[in-house]
Amino acid sequence: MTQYFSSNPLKKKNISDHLKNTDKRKLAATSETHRQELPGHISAGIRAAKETAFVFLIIWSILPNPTISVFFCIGCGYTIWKTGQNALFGWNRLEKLHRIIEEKRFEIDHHRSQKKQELRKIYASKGLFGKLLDEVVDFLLADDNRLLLVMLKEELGLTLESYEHPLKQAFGAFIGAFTVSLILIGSIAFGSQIGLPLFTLLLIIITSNVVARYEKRNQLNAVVWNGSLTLFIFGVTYFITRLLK
Amino acid sequence: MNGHPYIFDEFFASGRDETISPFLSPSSRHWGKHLPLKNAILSAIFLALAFALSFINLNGSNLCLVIVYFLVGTPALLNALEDLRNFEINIDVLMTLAALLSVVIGSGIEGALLLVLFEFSGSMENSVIKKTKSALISLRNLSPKTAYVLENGIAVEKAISEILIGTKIIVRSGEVVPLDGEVISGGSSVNLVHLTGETQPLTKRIGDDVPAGAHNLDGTLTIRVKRTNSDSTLSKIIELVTEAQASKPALQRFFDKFSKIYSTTIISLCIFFSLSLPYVFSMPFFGEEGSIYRALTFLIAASPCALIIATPTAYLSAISSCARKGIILKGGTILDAIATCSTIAFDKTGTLTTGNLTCTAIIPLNDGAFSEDEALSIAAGLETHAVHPIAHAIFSLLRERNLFPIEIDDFLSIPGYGLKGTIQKNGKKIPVSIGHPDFIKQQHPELIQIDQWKKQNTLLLVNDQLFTFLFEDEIRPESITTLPKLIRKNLSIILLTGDHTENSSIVGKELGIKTIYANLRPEDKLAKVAELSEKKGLIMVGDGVNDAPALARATAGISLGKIGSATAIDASDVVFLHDDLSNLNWLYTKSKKTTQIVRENLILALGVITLASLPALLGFIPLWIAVLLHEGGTVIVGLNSLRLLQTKDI
Repeated sequence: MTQYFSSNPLKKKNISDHLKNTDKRKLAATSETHRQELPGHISAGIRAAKETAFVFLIIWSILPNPTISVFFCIGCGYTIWKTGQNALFGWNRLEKLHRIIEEKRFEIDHHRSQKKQELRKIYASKGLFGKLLDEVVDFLLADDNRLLLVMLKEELGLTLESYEHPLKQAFGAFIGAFTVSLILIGSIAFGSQIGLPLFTLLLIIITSNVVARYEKRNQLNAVVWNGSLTLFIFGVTYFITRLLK
Repeated sequence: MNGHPYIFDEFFASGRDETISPFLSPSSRHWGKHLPLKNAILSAIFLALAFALSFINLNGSNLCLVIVYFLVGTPALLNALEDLRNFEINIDVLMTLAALLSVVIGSGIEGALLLVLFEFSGSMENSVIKKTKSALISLRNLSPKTAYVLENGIAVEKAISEILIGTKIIVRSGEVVPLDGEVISGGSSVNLVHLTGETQPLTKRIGDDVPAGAHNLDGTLTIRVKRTNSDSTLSKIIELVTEAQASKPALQRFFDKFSKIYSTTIISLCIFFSLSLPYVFSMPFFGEEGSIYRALTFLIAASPCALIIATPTAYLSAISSCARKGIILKGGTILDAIATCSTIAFDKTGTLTTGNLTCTAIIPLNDGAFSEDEALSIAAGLETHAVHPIAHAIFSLLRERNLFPIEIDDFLSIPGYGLKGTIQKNGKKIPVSIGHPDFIKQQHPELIQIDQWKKQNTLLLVNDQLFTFLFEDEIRPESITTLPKLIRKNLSIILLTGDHTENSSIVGKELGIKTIYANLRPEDKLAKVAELSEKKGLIMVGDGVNDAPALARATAGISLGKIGSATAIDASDVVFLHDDLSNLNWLYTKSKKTTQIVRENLILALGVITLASLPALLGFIPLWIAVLLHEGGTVIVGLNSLRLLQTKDI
């Protein structure tokens, strides 16, 4: 455990500097793999679905006569990549978060007076002062579990029990990428020449709409912007390919 | 969050186990459970597919093998590289090297089989280690976290670890004393049943010492802390569990050392054979008839995986199943010690008896208008709101006699002393009081001479009439059922007690104990235990402070965790957390079984290495058979050890 804490994290810093510094860590810690508004596995699934659709669209627009087997191979590889990437990303993030609480716990155990000052600063900025401030700080310092929880929430802005297991996120990504691959390969097999771009556009519109609805954002805005972006990407890759021929 | 605060201690005690990570949503934590085992099963499925496809479609087979190598090869490679980074050549390095070399010489399926089976044995070892850790987690949950410190007359909640010697703390009625200290104000009755086995509530007044863990029954106490948290009974139990996990039997320590030397030797020999065999037997380097293939087969056959896991998995499984039964062991060696014993010695009070009180008699001490039953109803009326064992004993007797408590007016509780009030009889108010003889003397100074009454008796004063209530400790029901089972296992049972001969004989007769040593002082007990331990190997079971020397001297000392004193727990090798004596029979059988399984494991592991190594080098055994023999042996040894995880009654 001590390997993390070879030096005093509070060394040569006053309390205000430390709090400013932790704001940076807070940002790093809360920058989600996926948007925080959606549960991790759903978000991972939708992102993987969208990305797979874009990859298919780009390849379709570049290659003159792509066969189904090409798309099948790309679909398999990309699905595995998205699954693995999401799992690794989730575990990396979990490791980082675990390391942060280890560090916080170490600070609580070994730098209690500094923690007390930090708490005073945090709660003073919330409008507490005088005896009440002292009582609140003493109450929080009494129980190490409670103190650690408060430091994680107030200092780092972390929320407990809110992240999905990396494997669950990976599974979401797998479902997203795999389903879209199947749909788009089907659209090539059974659709006409424009089956794939049409289905891609449709998928992007549907997923954007679902996300916007879940996150209570303007659905029309989301659908139009994402649809336009899809058409834009398609247009750019298609015409650049023809230009370079 | 589930409405309750997250306990980080649990997470840290588990070694940052992701299945209880504070950041993961509770609904998704199960994804991380038994990951190595799930990984091994999934890999085994793909390996079977690869094997089946190898006869039909080689590309399909290779595709499945790629998946297997990714799933089980990556963790193995990571472990091996980490070991190498620490300049350690061990079994992980040996196995990973063998698997990778298998791919190089075109025996991918054999290499994959090696990795899958290695993952299986690793997952079994993991599950055993995890189960032993869970005992520690549940113990930590019992540990008190905070105490109320008096600062300028105000009680402020503080972490136990922050409280220094000399700090004043306040303990209210119903709370547990968090730290050892001395009463500096207030008074109360405290129950020390969890610490000393003493069931009678003790009066604590200014100047008295109160131990951490004592249950404050009625009043409020202000205590000056005399010892820090690290010396508490619970800390000692936690220490004991940690010791149990860290302490390794001599055999296991030998194998730990041996494995490093052995692995290096085998790798060196493998390299030597790969390079030298072509010059000795004029064979090629590569191919199924080549020297690398032979050396690799030898490497796998001679790998001591099964030998290395033979002892730790067995002891860890046994320790884990004991922990789940509420039995904490100081280490695997204790199981060996117990298995060699032929005699069990018991302390009497608190060990063979429950420590719970029963009211055996109500004796009127002078003449008066009130009968024995009326005295009982009055006593019950006074004790209605009390929670200590005396009140329980009085109410048990009341129920037995189909009586009801009499209503008490003007009720007053004097914490640590007694209870008083008035009753109505024939339109007259009659004063009544119950409690310690000192308290009764205060109520009616001219009535009694305190010295003539035994201190442990409770007195009831009804107007001028005095009654004494006699209480006795009862024999544990499990003592009655367990001792005959132990006798049937050819164990000699003896009773070692400080109590006088008559009382000891009654208990001995009821339990069928023929050898009784009574009137023993602690030093006599120690001498007797030393003598018996030297002669035949002795298990000593006790609970009190006076048993501590005997527990420490015995071949194996067993103490009762709930009612046992901190000193007894510290001195003993085994703690029964639930005070259940029937566990004794279970533990003895488990220790016998553990030694037997360790013996079986060692024979199997050594047998496989001896029988397979030389034929492998001489080319009589192909690689796949060497892998099956080696890893199969490891899995069988692991599964054999897992049999010890059973907690059902043996």
